[in-house]
Formats: sequence, C-alpha cells, structure tokens
Amino acid sequence: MNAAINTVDPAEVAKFEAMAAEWWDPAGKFKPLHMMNPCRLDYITAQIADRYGRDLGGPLPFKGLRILDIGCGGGLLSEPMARLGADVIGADAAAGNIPVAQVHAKQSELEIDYRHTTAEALAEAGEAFDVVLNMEVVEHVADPLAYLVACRQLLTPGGIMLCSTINRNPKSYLMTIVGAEYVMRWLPVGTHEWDKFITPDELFDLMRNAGLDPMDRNGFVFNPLSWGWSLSDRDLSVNYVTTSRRPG
Amino acid sequence: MKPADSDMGILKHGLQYPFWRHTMEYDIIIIGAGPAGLSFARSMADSGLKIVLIEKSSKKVLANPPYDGREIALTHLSHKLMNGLGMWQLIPDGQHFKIRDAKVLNGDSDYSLNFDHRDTGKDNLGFMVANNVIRKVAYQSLQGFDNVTILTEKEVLKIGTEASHGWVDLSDGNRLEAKLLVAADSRFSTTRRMMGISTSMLDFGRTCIVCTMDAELSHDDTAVEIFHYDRTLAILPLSNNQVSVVVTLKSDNSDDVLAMDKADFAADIMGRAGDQFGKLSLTSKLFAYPLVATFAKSFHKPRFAVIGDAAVGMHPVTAHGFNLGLQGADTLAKEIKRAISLGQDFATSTALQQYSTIHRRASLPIYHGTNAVVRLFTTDTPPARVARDVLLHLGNFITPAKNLIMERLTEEKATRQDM
Repeated sequence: MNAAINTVDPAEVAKFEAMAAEWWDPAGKFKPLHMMNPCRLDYITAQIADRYGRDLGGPLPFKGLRILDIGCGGGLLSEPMARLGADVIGADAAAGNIPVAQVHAKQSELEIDYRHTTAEALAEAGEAFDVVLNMEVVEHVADPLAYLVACRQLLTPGGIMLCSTINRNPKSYLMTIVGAEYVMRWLPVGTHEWDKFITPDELFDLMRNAGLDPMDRNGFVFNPLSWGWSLSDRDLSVNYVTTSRRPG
Repeated sequence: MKPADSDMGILKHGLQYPFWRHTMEYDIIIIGAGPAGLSFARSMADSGLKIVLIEKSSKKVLANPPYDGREIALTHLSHKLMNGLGMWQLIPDGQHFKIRDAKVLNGDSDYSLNFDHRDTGKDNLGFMVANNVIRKVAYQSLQGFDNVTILTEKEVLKIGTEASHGWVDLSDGNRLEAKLLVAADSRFSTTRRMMGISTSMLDFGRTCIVCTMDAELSHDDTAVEIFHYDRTLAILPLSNNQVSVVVTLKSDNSDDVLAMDKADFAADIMGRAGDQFGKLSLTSKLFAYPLVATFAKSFHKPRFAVIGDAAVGMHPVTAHGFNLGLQGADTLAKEIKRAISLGQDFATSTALQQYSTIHRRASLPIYHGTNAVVRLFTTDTPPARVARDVLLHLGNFITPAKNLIMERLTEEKATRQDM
C-alpha cells in the first residue's frame, strides 16, 4: 500500500527526483499552484495562528500541532507546515505522488509522514488532527457530503478545517476551464468538471450537514496587472477558501 | 525494509545519493561587499539567517574606503531605506548634503528646465553623499550581527547550484554552500556570467571624469546639468562652497582632459558653467570612469539572484544607480522574509520570481528612459540639438512630465509594492 521510497532502486529514485523537480519548479508544470501558494499560505497560516494563539513572527510557530494535508501532491503545503514546526501527515489518493513528495522532503531536510491513503481511510483508523488542510480537493470527490463527514471525524474537538474550492457560475467556468485549461494551458484539459464546482453557500450548507461550524470565507483573486493572487473578503466569484470548526 | 540498507545500496552503485546529507554552512552567500551587497546583508541581518559576504578587497578598505570622486545623489526613498537600515544615522554631520533644486541647460542657451523643490511638498529634491561614505556606513551597520560574516581578500573561482543548495569555490581552496547565492559583484559580474545569465550591455564610448571643486559663489543647493554638444557637465551641491563636478565626454578625449593641469581644467569648467559659480578651483584629483550600462536578461535562477549593478548598471546621468540597487535589495529582502514567514523555501519558491518581477518593472522604464535621454543629449546632429531645445522649453510647461520626474526623486514608497 505505502509506496515507500526505500523499496525502490536508484533508477526509480532518479525518476522520482525528476518528478519532484517538476512539481517544485515555480515556472514549470505546476506554475499556477506556485503562483497561488503564497496567497493560500497567507490565509492558512493566519487562520491556524488565530485559532491556536500562535505568533507567526516567532520560531516554529506551529510546534506541537498535528496537521493533515489531504491531496498533498508534491508537498507544496505539507513542507511549509513542517517548516513552521507542525507534525505533518500528507495524504494523497494518487500513489505516484507519495515517493515524489518523500524525495523532496528529504532534499528539504524535513520530516513528513506521506501516505497513500484517503480521508475516509484515515478517519476509519481513528486518526485525529488539530488542523485539516483540504485545499482544492472537494471539487474532485464523488460524494462531497460523505467526504466532509470524514474530514470532521479527522478533527479533534475544536480543531479547524481549511477548505478551498471553485465557485460555480459563468465567470468561474470561463476562468478555470476555458481560461486555465484551454487558453493559458495552465492545467491539463479535463482537470475540472464544472458541475462539480460548489458555491460558497452550498459549501457552508454541506459543512453544517457534516457537523462542522463554518467560520470564515475569503476569495482568491487573480490580478492580471501584478500577475499574482491576493485575498479578498468580497470577491468569491472564482477561487475561494473557507475555515470551519469541529464543535467541542 | 531497513532504510539504512537501501541507502547503502544506492551508494554502492556509485551514485551521489543522498546528496541531502551535506551540512549547510550558510543560508545566504553574497558575492561582493559593495554598497548593494552590504545593504542587502543588512536588510537580511535581523532575520537571523546565517549570511556570508565574499569580497576581493581587504577589511581595512571596507572599514575605510578611499575617496573615489563619486558623489551619489540619493532619492527620498533611499534616504528612508538607509534610515530603516540604521545606515543614515552613521553618516557624520557635514557629510550629507541636500539638493534643494535642479536645473537643466542646453548648451550656451540661457534657457533652463527648472525643478523646484517647492512643487514637491518636500524640503529638497534629494540628498548627496560620497560613495565611499555610503560604503563605510553600510559596512559599519553590520557590526554587532553575529550571524553575518565577511570573508575578505577572497575571490569566487567557480559557482553552481544543485537541487538542494548552491556552492562557491573560493580562491583560498574552500568550498562554501548555502541555500541561496546572491551576486552583487558589479555590472561586469563574473558570477552572473558563470551562472549563464546573459546581459545586454550598452557601451556609450564615453567616460565620466569626476572631481570636487571649490566655488567662489554659493551653489544655492542647486544641481546644474549642462548639455554641450561634445560633453555634459553636472555640478552638484556638497558643503557650503564645495561642488561635485561630473564631466562626461567621448572616451578618446578623456586622456587629454585627465592630462590637463589644475588651472587649465578649472578654467575650462568655468567657461562651460558660465558665471554662476564665480571662480572654481580643484580640490581633489580627477577620477575617470568608462560608461557602460548593463541590464541582466534575468534577475534570478533557482537558488541564485542578482542585485545592485549586477542586475541593473545605470548610466549615471539621472543618478538612479545606487537608488535602484538599494530598492532592489530591499525588495529581495522583503520577498525572502515573506517566504520564510509562510514556511516556504525562500531560495526556490516564487520569492525570487516576485523579486524579479517587481524590480524589473521598477527599473526597466528608468533604464531605457535614461539611455534615451543620454542618446538625445549626446547626439551632435542639428535635429537632436533642436529636439532637446524644444524638450527643455516644453518641459517647463508640461507639468505632468516634470512632476513625474520630481515625484520619482521625492517619493518614499517603492513603486508598485502594494499591488
């Protein structure tokens, strides 16, 4: 099950290193994620610091926090969380991502527990986390409600989940599918299915039905002038992020 | 599976895995302890990162740089940045001066384009500080930071980057490793070349001759720029009676001027400056600098960035060189600190890209604008003469254009940072 790095031969390691280099090249295949990452991290770090009373200016502000990164990919969020001092588990349903993320974490001299598993399986195993990162995943799952219930089960009472996804409206269709997939070729065609996009109100309703308390929501807005992303509390028309909390 | 076994297995195959085992000696290696390198080191000093500067000259020279004839015009933004870095406070009284107003004249025409500080809402358009004083206070400002090391009398022979770190081979046989390498080794940066970053260069075929002179009449804290057909003369206010004189001329004429005796040189300058300064006499030797403007095609690669003149080497006529260098060092430091606070690897994340985007946008228009002005004011053809005469006359009336120039000098915000 766990495609651990120490079971593979040197040629395989070299292959994973090449894939890791691809994941982590800010100008490469995952450029849109890299461009968005400082903005995502701004929101994530601020919410975690706020919930757990941590000083982001100090060393290892997230020390002692157990964080789960669902859909960790190459580790673009897991590594920053580990660098800020958290104990991080990175989970990905795609087995191929695990050794790639492991190779890169070693290069970065970080200890991260990467696992080929799902939120549902972790919940079943009784794992519990102070923070669950659920970024750009919910629009890809088959049953969002069942998935969010698993996410709630993964939280310690009072723990928070950060969940980002894409709004469903004509603008988001133009921006994310026509723009990002067909025009800019930032993402492979077919990355997103528009009918799986969720409006912020729908997501809040889903969260409540899953037993979570929605607390905050913000938009990620792309500014073509500065060619970068920023947070907006008003414009949630395309990409947006939410914070919710497990009661208790 | 026992991890140790597989590691051994890999090593037995003769491959260089795992390369993450090396011990990282520094976080940042800065090549060149000139004004830009030192300012950047000072900007990063309070981050606690382990920083090393590699410099060709000796500690003695860094602590007491000799006078080099260059007097630097600083903008209000530079003044603010130097204040923030604790550098400005170290400049002794009587070694920083104000440029209150400025005027530009075309040849012997009496008509001038005037820049009046009262239009800016500030006390003055800018400041004047000698280059060696800037170097001295930049060096002093690093005293007391145990995390900053300066290795002097050493050269970088080779430089390179790997996935996990960058390295430099020094002339003393040592290899240093760090997460990030920053080149601040002049507009002719050899490390930039070794890293494969191409650079556009514009050799003006001209030389700048600089010196200080004693003026009989007050300079009124006014900078004067006079464009003659074959040479440009700038007279910049220093202390009460001292001025900095900058003569720009074709390089094939520079030896003749450098060979002139003091009295002849002074007489020549007086003839070109008109009578506004009264009698002028030389108070320093003449220093000559060939003029080449450079602009690096890229400001960064993974684990590598260029700053200061290694990024943008300006023609000195509009006095943007060190100002841009300081601004760029500040931008890079801010982006790195932001990446660190977000838990990112500052040497490979988008931080370097952001620095590059912001600093290129800030400097590219100034670079091309300056070069265009230089071309216009050094072309001897009649159309060019007419064009610049028209430009000077219009300049006084086109308020937006003039205000833009003055705002650039007096603004305290870096451009575009908040977008």
